[in-house]
Amino acid sequence: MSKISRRGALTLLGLPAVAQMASRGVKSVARGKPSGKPFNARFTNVAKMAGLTRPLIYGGSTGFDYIVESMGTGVAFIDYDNDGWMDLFVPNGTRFGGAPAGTTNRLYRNNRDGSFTDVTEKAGLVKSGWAEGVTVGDFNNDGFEDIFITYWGENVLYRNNGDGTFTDVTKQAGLLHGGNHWGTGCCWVDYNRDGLLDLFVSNYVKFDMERVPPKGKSASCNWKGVPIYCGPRGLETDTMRLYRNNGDGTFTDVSRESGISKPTGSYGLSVVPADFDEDGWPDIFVACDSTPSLLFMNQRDGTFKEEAIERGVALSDDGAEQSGMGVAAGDFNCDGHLDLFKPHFAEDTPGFYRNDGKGRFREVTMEAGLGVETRYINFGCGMEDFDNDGWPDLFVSTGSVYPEVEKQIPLMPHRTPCYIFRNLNGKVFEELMEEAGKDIAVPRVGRGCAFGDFDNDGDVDILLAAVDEPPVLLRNDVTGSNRWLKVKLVGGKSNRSAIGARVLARYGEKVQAQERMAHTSFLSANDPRLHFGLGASEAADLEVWWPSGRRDRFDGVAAGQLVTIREGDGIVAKVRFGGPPTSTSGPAR
Amino acid sequence: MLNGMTAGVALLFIGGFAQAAPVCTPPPDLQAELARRPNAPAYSALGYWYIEQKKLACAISALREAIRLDPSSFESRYNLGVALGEAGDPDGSAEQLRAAVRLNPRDANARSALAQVEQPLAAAAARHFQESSRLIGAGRREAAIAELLAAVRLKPDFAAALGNLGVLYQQQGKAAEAEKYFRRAAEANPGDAKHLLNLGLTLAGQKRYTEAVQAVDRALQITPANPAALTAKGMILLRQQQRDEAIDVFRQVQSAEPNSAQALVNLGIALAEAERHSEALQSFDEALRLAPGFTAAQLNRGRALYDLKRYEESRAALEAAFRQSPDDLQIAYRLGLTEARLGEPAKAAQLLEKVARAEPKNDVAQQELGQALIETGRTADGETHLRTALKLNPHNSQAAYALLKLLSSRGSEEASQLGQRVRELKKEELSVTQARAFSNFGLDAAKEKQWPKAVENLRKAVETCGDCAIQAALRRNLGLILAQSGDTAGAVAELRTAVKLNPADKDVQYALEVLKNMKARP
Repeated sequence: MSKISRRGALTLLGLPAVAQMASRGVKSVARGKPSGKPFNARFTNVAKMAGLTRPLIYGGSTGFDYIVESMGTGVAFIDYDNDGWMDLFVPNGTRFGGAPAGTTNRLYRNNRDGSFTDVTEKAGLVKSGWAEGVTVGDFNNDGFEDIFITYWGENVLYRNNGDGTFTDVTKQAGLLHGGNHWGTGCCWVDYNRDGLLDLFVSNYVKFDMERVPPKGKSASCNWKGVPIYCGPRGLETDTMRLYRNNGDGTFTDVSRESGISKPTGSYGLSVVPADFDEDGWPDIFVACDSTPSLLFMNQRDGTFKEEAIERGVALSDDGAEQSGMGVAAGDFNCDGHLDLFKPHFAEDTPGFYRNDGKGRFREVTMEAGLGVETRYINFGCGMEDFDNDGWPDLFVSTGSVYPEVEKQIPLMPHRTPCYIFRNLNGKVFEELMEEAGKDIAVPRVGRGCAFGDFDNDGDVDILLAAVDEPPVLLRNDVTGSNRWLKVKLVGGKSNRSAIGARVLARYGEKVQAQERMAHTSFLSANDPRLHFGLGASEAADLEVWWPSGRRDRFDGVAAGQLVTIREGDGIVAKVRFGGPPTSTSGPAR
Repeated sequence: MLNGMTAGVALLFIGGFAQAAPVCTPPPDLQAELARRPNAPAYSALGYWYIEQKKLACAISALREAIRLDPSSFESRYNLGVALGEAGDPDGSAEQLRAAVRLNPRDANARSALAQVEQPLAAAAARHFQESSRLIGAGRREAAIAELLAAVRLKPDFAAALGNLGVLYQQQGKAAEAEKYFRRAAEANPGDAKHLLNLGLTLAGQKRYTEAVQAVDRALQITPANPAALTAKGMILLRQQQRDEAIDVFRQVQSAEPNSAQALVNLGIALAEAERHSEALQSFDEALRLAPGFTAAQLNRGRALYDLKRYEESRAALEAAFRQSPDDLQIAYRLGLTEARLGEPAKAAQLLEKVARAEPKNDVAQQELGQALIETGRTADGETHLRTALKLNPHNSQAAYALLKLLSSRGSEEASQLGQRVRELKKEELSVTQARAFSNFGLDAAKEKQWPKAVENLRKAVETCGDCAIQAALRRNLGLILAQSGDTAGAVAELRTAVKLNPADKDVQYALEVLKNMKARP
């Protein structure tokens, strides 16, 4: 067979290079004058003291050849032994060529004294691989929280045996997917309201090492001219998955018939399931990287319709795709509706969307003062009231995905700080770093973070995954006189974890909505107990919307305690932290 | 039979001299020879005999018949040239003598005779050429062309006149004519690189890049470090998106002309296209150091900074360029986009209105203007421009999204249709991005001669793209990689598809020709 020499007639046509991550190149807007208001939350990294010493391994220590190495993991608060104290679950990654010995996902049992014991081996949770996201929920309604972890590779479902151990039941549950999938965000959600937790899995890219060249092998893969790994732009997309819980320990893939797998052009990451249009049925928002984000609206018949573009949460205000990593849902303006916060890549503003209560959103990023910070690559985030002043604040963890870039572009460091946007008045936010404790501003390669009260002292602490270092445990020590209230929900007719239940807390002039979600931030799961800062209010009126449709109301619930509300039984326990639990009867109206 | 042949000859003479009706009686021996073998040598001999008899008309007829029977006969051409000269037809004489010289360049008699004939013609041609120069100076191009055509009629190898014809035709947009005359000029004076360079530029203008590079390479063989030829080559390579090769060439230009700001700007543009932005910026900065205020350098610096999303610096560079050339639409457009990115919708609108007026078919200008106007509160005007943008380019997703937002706030039903449209457009954009990436991965593999991997990636690119906007380019790449991997049949099939999708791609046609010739080879 004749061959043509490269010389002469035949010229291959190089096509324009593809920018690797969607970023609009937005410079931060000028910061206003500091409010001068004191911020009463102070964070201190107590990880070492707490016994969290094993590092998160994720990809090469000096650079990433493939996009897989850049991702990192989420983290989770879980009370696996039902002792009322939050334990920690920290997924781990690996390295091409092998991770250091002992690299595994880890479960840390809370010793109730500020420290933790690594019980991974005893719990049967030793596993290494490219772990990504985690969701916690009681899928078999046996009273113990189970763990689902996504992977580049096969995802894993661990059933909590109730005796301190877990069993990998992925195969028997019918959750092995086969093929080339890269699971990221995941959440338990009772989409059909049958009282059983179903499972939603977000997939990122179909990553094939045989097809995608490593860093430096393709001129088209660069960031501002610096060679980097290829992707996600240009790589093959995957679809989202929904598994229906059959109630017998198994699941059925209903992605197609539910309409979940219909959108085919998305790099899916973190997920928040919540009833955004307040019709009683859970919807699902997926933060997508470099593609339009997705909002699956529950059609109340087992199907979903994707409406993010029409509802104003798919794109930037000027119609551009953004790099959605983490996402938080909360009620920043205390109007009783769940809003969305989705930070992005460097040189882009976050997306901050106000919900009108019907699931229609308006971007209010700039008017909320969030355009002041565009320096960092953002990952985890939360909308939590850190200083208990009654207004939910925002927290963001950051870290680069391009270790190679900082040598050539010093303004793009690999390790970057976390930051807080404190909520001044339900409308405008103010950025804080050291003001919230010097450990917030320590540069790290931050990834997922979760929010919970590990020391049961009535505030919100932060657990953060940071690459190449042990988990960061930012203990919050709130000063001042602001009050708080925590709510633990236990489903009856609804799923036992009460995932999807909504609490409206009325205090002062505010009505703050929170929903029990099994996944949020970046690939992470929060403390299942809902935390309300109440400001100066000594009590709050609570309204609970259960996934079953039942609505309960509890007026005048005193601040400074954790109340447990069981569906159908009302308030069944009250705990003043530092003291023993008190059983009560709870008249539900 | 014999009579018939003679009769034939007689008819020829009659026909040839219908007006003059000379009596052409051959001598008996030649007539007998003609009767026996009516071939070119016989007619040639007869023509020579007539010349000796001063029967020029008869000689011309006999020699024309000899040439008809054997066009490569040096003797017949030479004798016909002499006869025509003596008969008072210098043009015809020169034509035949030139042919004779071409057939036997070493023949001193022929060259001498040609020189004698051409001398007056050359003088006349030179006068026409001079006149053409005056007319060009007066801006009378058509008249100049007429003079030049007269010149090359008198002196067909008048290289300067041929070259100028090429230039004038090129200026008139008559690429085929220009190409013809540049080729003739290059042939008439093979030592002059200028004609080959012009030929290359003309071919590049017709998107026949491969042939263009070949022509410029021939020019570079004559004058290896010629900056103009190197610059032309660099530009053509850039058009072919052979960015690294173009950068190498522009670096050679820059070495040859270290103080040329233009050379640095060209190099910077190539570097920017290769996404080597920091180096590009260095080039533009150096150009500005050499030529402060050089508008092209400012504009391109502004563009590079815009591409790097360093909008404030981009604004500074573009404002400097705009101060120097306030009527330059390119600068106004870029500055308008930059102002929009910097959150200055009023400034953006002012600049983009100017651009949209001058270039009403620029859909991005219309869309950006529409968005800026809405932000400044001129909602109705903004909507009009967004609708214009969408009409001009139904694939403009940002125009569709901006319109969707506007209509959503009014609760319009059109909004839901636009929502679906934006969704589809975003998906299309994603497909193009993915196809580009697969194609680039394929090209990377091809560079390392990993043909199966290259082909697999290109096939994936084609599949992902479907009927997307870059399908022709992908098919072309796949075809060329298949050709290089040895799959000629597959290559031909892909290249045929590519040429169907983009008939303007002359390179693909050329490649198909090459493949066809290769297949024909035993």
